[in-house]
Amino acid sequence: MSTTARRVSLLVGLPSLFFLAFFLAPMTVVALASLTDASGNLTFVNYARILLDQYHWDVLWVTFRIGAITTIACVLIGYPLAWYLVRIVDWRPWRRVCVILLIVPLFTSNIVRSFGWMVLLGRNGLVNDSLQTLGLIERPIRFIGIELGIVIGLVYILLPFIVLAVGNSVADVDPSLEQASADLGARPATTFWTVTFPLCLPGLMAGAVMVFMLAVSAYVTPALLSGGRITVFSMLIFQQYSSVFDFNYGGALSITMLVLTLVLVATAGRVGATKGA
Amino acid sequence: MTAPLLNITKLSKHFGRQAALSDVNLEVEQGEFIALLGPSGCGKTTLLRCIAGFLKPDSGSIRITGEDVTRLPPYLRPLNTVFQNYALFPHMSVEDNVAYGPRRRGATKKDALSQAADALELVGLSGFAGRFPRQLSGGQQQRVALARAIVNRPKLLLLDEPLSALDLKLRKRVQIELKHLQEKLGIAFVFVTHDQEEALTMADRVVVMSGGRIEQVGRGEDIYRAPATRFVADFIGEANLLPCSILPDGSLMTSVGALSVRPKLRPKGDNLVAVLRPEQVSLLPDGAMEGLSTVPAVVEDVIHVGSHVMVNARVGDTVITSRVSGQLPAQVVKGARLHVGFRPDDLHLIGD
Amino acid sequence: MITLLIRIVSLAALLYLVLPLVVIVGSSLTNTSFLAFPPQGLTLTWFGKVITDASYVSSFVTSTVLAAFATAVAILFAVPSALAIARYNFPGKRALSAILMSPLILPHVVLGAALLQYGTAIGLTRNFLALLVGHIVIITPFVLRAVLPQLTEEQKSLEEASADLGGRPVTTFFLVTFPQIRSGILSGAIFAFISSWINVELSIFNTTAELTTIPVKLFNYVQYTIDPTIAAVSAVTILVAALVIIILDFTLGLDVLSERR
Repeated sequence: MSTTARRVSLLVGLPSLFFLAFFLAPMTVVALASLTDASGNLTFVNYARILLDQYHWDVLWVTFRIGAITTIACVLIGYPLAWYLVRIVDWRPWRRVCVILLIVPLFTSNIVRSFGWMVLLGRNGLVNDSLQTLGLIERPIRFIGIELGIVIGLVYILLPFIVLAVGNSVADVDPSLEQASADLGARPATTFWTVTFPLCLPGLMAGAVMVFMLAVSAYVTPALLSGGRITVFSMLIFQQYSSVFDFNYGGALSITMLVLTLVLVATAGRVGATKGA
Repeated sequence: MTAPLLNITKLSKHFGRQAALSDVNLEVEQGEFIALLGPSGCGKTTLLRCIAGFLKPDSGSIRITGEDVTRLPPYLRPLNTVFQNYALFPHMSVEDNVAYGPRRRGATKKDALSQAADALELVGLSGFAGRFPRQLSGGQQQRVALARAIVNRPKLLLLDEPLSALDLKLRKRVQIELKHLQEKLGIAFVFVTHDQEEALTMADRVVVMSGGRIEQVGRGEDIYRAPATRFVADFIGEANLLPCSILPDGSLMTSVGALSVRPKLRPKGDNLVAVLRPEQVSLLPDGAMEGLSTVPAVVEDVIHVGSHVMVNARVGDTVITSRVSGQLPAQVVKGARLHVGFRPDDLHLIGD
Repeated sequence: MITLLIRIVSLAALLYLVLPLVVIVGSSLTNTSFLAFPPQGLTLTWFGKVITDASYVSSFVTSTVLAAFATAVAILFAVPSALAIARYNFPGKRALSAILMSPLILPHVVLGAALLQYGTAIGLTRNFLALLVGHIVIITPFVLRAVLPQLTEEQKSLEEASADLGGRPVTTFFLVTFPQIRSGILSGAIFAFISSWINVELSIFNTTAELTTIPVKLFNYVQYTIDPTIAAVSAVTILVAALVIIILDFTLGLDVLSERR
């Protein structure tokens, strides 16, 4: 054995074995289970059960719609916020405070953050109270149990990701490029749309893909803010594994979700790569 | 009398407490090639950025053909810039980069592209229109940056050390090409550089800056022959600087002894410096020579620099450097005792 | 004009980011027996209830010990892997780094389900080890991702200089490489620790009534009742997170969004 081979196997041997045993093997088991029936025979019946059933398509549609709305809202709020933090705030202590405010939620459990919204969005929560005091509504709005409530909770949880991704790419834009644009006669808005925005697009796409993926696979936030009225795909998986114990069908659900998200992410990544060229 | 192309009056700029420019005055005529020369931190780039509009001066004014542009944003100024790092848009092809300026000035896409093609041809990059900047070599990127800046035919082009990233051989070639292009287009160039050779070979006039001030403005050979300040003398070329004073009888007392010369120019001040270029110093192994002032000296170092030899000779506490082209006399070796001589008229006196 | 609009949107967004946290901390201080915000009177009763409740304390301990162990193992896995990936060419290198990074993009529910099913088959379920194994898988990529970019080419020449001066590989690692990647290990480890500490989706498959982490306990509780005790527990986690971040800001510096001018 050469020196290099010996060193490499010393370095990566243990991690490789561990990931083989506790990552690849479990995922393979799930994939295999999804393709077999209870007695171990090869079958596609589990996938047929998902793909031929309108209910599953409805759940998928809701899941992806919530994911898409969450992603769009995150971009629309996150881009200005990132711009504000990088380009507009010029007092360093305030930016430090802002970055801390941005990261504290990231370091807090989804559960705690969703719980905060349960309190805020409840029938007698602060949001309903304020809207009533302002005279904008007469009776409390039911937020918990409608998609809007889930979206509010998810946007809240995922916003920091997109702000960090966009903020980093805005900060990385070489200022001389924007100066060159101005030098060649472009007004600030033109410079933004022709130079700055295209240069930040890969960062924006990366952030958006991440947000979308986390939104469609989220379990805790929808579970808490759905009030049992809305089902998203991750809940179906959880049900199968925690109460129904049908691992074959559950496996097929898992693999379906995995494949769908990976396909969407890969497509978005490709679009981002060509646009960002 | 028509207004000069560029007229800078009493321009000052501070960064915090640091003065980057103080009281700078400068005029540039149509079609002139001006080099802003100085060590890093002298304010030359700050001055360029003020002219371009990327920096707002604290006080003073900048006029272009008589119009005050001091408060105008960059996109309203009738000039263009070649950036030090080229600042090519990485997400646009070469032709889109060059067509960017015409598009912003309202040209149709077709017109802009045809203007871009002309500009690219001018810099010899016709075949590269569809490439992206990252696919080009440093020299090619530099040409794209140039094409992009001249495509609008500005009256004034600002160049911020545009050749500093090129290797020596390529730099020499591009210097000549750039000079030819400038003459052909008749655009005035304001060219920032820290390379004095570049400044002296290319520019009609050189502006030597130091500490945010203009030390001297003039033709390259004048600046070399008759530096106005001690800084210029020291910075431009190599110089022997001999502290000296003028005696009551009008003759000169230098750090290498009294000289029976009566300088024509008598600068003000008591602490004068006599400037003597190394090529003006002769080595005399055999002693005196007709018409030269001579002093005895001891050879300290003999340094061969390819085409010529630099010899350091000690006279008392002073070391005088002589530049010898051609054959070095056999007697000139380390430790040899000989005389150094120079023509009294070559001494250039600088005051405080 | 546009700048003003951006300012308004941003300040609203920042308010949106802190509001739920403020509400939780605020309502944990109420002296009513139901959740109220703004709090009605101030009391620390609920915090007292939490620290005297053995089940909460044991969940806090479980979470912390679990995160600590998982982070330690993640460092021991990620740093050597990063070294191998950055410094050597070997067959399967791309596959290895893809596998080590993929838990970052894998839905945690899917991974949790897979580990439960697999664990059932090999008899590793609903105990500390089962939790630990899953947490190691999801947090190792955080450390790897933080360390890899620090193993640059310039750094490689430092390592070569050390070898040239007679440093054996192990000596070179501890005297030359490690000081350069220390900050990466630290920031990666902090993210890894926190990710483990706040995880619900993965842990929930392997927790029991006796062995449960604090976020899972909260999750199970919140689905049925909401009361100020829950707010107090949540407030503790928020204050811990804020404290960690403020310490991070003063030590490592979190000013990640300054313009690189």
